[in-house]
Amino acid sequence: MNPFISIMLLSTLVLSTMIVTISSHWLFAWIGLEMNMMAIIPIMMKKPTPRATEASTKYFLTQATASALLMLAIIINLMYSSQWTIMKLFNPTASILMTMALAIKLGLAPFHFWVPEVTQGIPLTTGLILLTWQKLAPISILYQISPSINLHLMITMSFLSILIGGWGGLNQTQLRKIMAYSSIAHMGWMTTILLYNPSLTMLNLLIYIIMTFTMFTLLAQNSTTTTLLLSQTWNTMPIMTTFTMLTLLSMGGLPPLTGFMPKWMIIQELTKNESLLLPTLMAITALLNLYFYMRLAYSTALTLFPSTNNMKMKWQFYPTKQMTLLPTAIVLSTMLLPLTPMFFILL
Amino acid sequence: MMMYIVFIMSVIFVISIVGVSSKPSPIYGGLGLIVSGAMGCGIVFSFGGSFLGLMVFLIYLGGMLVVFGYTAAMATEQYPEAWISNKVVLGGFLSGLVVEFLMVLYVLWGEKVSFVFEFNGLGDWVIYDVGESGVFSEEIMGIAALYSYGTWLVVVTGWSLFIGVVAIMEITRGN
Repeated sequence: MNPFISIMLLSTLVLSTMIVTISSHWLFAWIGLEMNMMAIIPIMMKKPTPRATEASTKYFLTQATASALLMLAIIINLMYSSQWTIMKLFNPTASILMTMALAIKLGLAPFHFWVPEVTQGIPLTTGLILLTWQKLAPISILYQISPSINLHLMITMSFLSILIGGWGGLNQTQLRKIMAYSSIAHMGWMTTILLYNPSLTMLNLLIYIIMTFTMFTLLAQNSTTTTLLLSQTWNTMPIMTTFTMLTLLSMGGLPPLTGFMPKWMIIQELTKNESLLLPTLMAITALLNLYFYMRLAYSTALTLFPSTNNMKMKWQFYPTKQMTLLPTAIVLSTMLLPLTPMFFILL
Repeated sequence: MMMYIVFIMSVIFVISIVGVSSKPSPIYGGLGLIVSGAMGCGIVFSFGGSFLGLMVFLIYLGGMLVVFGYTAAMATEQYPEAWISNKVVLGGFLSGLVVEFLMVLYVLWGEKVSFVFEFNGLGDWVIYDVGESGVFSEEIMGIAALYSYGTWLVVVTGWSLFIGVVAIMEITRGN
């Protein structure tokens, strides 16, 4: 893509998320979300293959529907409160509609169907932008309307997301689809705690973005998109196997790695609010997630995956791809657990 | 009958939008959009927003839809699909019509037309008004405010429209 156009689209992507997060007028937030969608579609179609076209079309259709529902909720809120300030919504209909619109934007179940298909059709770095940066704007709106969200709807959607994120990822060998299902499950964890303690949503989002960024950067080093390719990294860059394993275990939520922190805090907050069955079920279904991360770690670092003999004797070149922030990200996504008290700054 | 003009216009609005969304060829979809745009303008006129309604006619129908019509005419096929040429399109259109007809019956039977639009006035002296002030028209003042206090909004909307065009150019470039 023409570098001028590329810079313009990426800066619009940043600008649109900033507009959504800092605006106090509902119309501006909606405009920011529309600009977000417009700017990422050509980025997703960098290589105009039919796969990428299909992924962009699916993304566009779902996000446009969600924007229309969001506008309807905004106008119903205007009708009942006669003001445009972004704060809690004043009508249950508007609240339910807006929650569902933002769930479509985030990829929460039962609106999760677009996430694996869109993530699979686009290049790895674009998938990174899709699964991390694009989550910031809808979650900022959810944070601001959190006092008025219907509890039953939110808990249903988030528990269903954790379940589907875990279950759906079990049968996948394509790494981008695995990351998509991981995103669905993490979104589920994030939105569960939204109505009890929104700061933990922000904490979970931060840790999730760090871990997903690490994972995608590790995958983009060798352009590995399948489990088979990942299982050959021991031959080209042996240190990557260790990093991949540690990051995957962190994403699965195992102590003493960073990924345990949000899960621990969320379960603690839920039990403080006297709901015991929900965190138990959430922790159990998170094991499904851990299983397919373990399977990837197994085939990458712990065993020699079966492959033909000529795959076992590759040249070990010096890496020419720039490993942007990779060491920092790896340290952040594995060693942050002792710094848990630091995150009170998020309050 | 004149009292129900807004209601009639909104019914025709919905019917033409159903005609667009039942997926005929884009030429016929453009026809549906013209009718729905005109009816939307009429509804805005009826509520006193004369300037904004004329803006919609000028910019939307006379600018964007004309360009859309030309591009659809350039890209059209030999036998474009109308509403009656394909059972799927006809079925979609008819089911939308049936639902709209049922809603019209419900609104008229249950005397609920007053829910569709609210009278603002003193009994017999019905006033269609934009807002509460009788001194100036809020609509024109709002448009003036857009270009004075609302400069940032103009910048943001202008940039987002520009990005829309850039995105479409990039996607349809094809290499």
